[in-house]
Amino acid sequence: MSEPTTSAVTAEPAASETPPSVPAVRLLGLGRRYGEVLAVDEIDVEIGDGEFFSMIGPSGCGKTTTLRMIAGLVEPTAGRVEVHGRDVTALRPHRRPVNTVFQQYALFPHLDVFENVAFGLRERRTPSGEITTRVKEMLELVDLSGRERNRPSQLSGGQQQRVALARSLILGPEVLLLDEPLGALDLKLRKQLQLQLKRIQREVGITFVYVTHDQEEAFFMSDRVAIMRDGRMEQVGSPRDVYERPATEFVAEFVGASNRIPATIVDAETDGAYRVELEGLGQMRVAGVPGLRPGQRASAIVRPEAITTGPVPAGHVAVSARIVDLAYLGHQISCLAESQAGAQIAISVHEARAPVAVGETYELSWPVSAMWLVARDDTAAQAAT
Amino acid sequence: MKRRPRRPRLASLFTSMVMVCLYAPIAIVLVFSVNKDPLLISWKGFTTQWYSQALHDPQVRHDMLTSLEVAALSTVISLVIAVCAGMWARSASPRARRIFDAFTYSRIVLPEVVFALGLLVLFSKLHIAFGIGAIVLGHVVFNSAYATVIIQARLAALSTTLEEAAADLGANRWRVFRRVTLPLLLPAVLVAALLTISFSFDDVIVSQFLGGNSAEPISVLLLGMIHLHVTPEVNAIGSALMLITLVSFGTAGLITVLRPTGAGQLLALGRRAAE
Repeated sequence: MSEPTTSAVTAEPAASETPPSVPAVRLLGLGRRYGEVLAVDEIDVEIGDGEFFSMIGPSGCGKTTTLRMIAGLVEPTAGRVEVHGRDVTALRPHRRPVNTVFQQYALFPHLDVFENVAFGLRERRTPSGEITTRVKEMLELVDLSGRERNRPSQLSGGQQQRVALARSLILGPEVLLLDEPLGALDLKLRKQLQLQLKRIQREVGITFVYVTHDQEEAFFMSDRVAIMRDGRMEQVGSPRDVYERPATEFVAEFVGASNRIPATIVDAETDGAYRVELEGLGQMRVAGVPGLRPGQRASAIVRPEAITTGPVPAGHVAVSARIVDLAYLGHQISCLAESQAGAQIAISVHEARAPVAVGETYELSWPVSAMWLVARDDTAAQAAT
Repeated sequence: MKRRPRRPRLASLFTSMVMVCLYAPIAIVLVFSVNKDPLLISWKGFTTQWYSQALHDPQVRHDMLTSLEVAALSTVISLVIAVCAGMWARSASPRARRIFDAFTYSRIVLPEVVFALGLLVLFSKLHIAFGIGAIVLGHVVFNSAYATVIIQARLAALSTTLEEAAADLGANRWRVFRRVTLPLLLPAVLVAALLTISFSFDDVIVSQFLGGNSAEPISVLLLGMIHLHVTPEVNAIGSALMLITLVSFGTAGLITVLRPTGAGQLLALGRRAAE
């Protein structure tokens, strides 16, 4: 498995592996246009062998179209798709070394579980004795032994999803494509299947390319995630990278709640940090994305969980604000506070550590190091919701 | 349940009368087909002799076979046309589809006597021999339209995801059609087949126009017999034809009720019963 590489769209294969392995999937300038509409806009990315790679983004961002182009179900209007170094762009779906798990499972209703799983092997004219053993093994892997003669309609959603998975995995694809496979399931079952998917991926060692709109799901399972917007990948990186060092305001907003403090860049320093003027907080030194220029308008991102209510330690920025709303979430309390200047601040606290009450004013503070600068983008908040 | 709305008496009476008028002739045919009185005047007791007489009549047997042949051939050709048309229509532009639909419906709506006449003229110009082949072609004109409507509706409701899944699992276009599309289409194909068979059996006009001297389906024979005079045998043949149509339509209806699980469900039931 390749090491999760840090940020940047043109991620390089893991440096530790010598000689550098060929990426399992490589998209080169891949694009798809529907008339006037650009669904996918020149994507360049490399997905490492054995990697669990997720594409996330709001609906209509092009993630499913990208996946379908890898599968061969949608023809690109620009660029190429390579699988383990082989150009498969011109190949029809049935000739590609990849398989897909579809959103609504797409099990064949007229065939039983056994025949659904055996479908691809029969296409390959595998001897029937071998089919029987391999289907049996595969059903064991997905915990469906004994269900061979059931019809898909007799199975629960979670079971159907596992049949779909088994049906694809049995062919030993070089890459498995999953299009929101857990989208139709309820939360509890989804959590269970996320674990199962992760375990299966580790056991079979196949590259998974996963599409979802659920950021938490993607973070939980993936080595790397790509955050997509308007047909482009805004950032590709490990979940930690993307969360702590988002490349754009949109990414920051999409991968979790965030506070954005308006800022103006004063000066760029040599170590990648900036001197900035933060609105209402004065000048300080804050880290941020590369390439911001002096005078440029920016946003300093602070995550709600970085903000505390107690006494203000050294090296913290503080602002006093009144709690206006409060939501109890079990493991934490999510609050909305309003500063004297009228700015709204989202915070998330543990009740046991610091009790809060609506209407009270608190000194809210966070470490300067918890802030991260990105270029200002007034359309981001809207696009992320 | 006392608060049911008052029954509208006049409407009920009128409806009952209409029903009686509609079904009385059918009842009469059925009753006289098992009546001993050869003159069809009064009830003289139950018999099946007219049926056996019809069964042993060489002309009836011959024409019944002709009808079967025509029905089978025209059904098969119509189904092939309908499935091809349905597959084409799925990927066609909405505009092309609308035009195609208009042509399909026109074959159902146009007076049969008009296109029967048209075919008669066309075939004689082209020196196509009248007979079974000509009748089959004539029946295909309307049967393929009915079959297309049914199969196209089913195909339109069928999501392409299943076919994509099959392709993704390694099936080429033909294999996708064979292993996924066709099995899922089977209930619709069966329903279409049963309907076209009964339409074929019932048809008189096209069969009369295009049969020439060599081919005479049972419906045409029946018409000829009635021209002379209505015999008990005519009633027996008529009843038999009615039964064929009813069974076809009934089965088609049953399959339609069982859709979308359709034929697969029937097979599963049969298998479970066998175990």
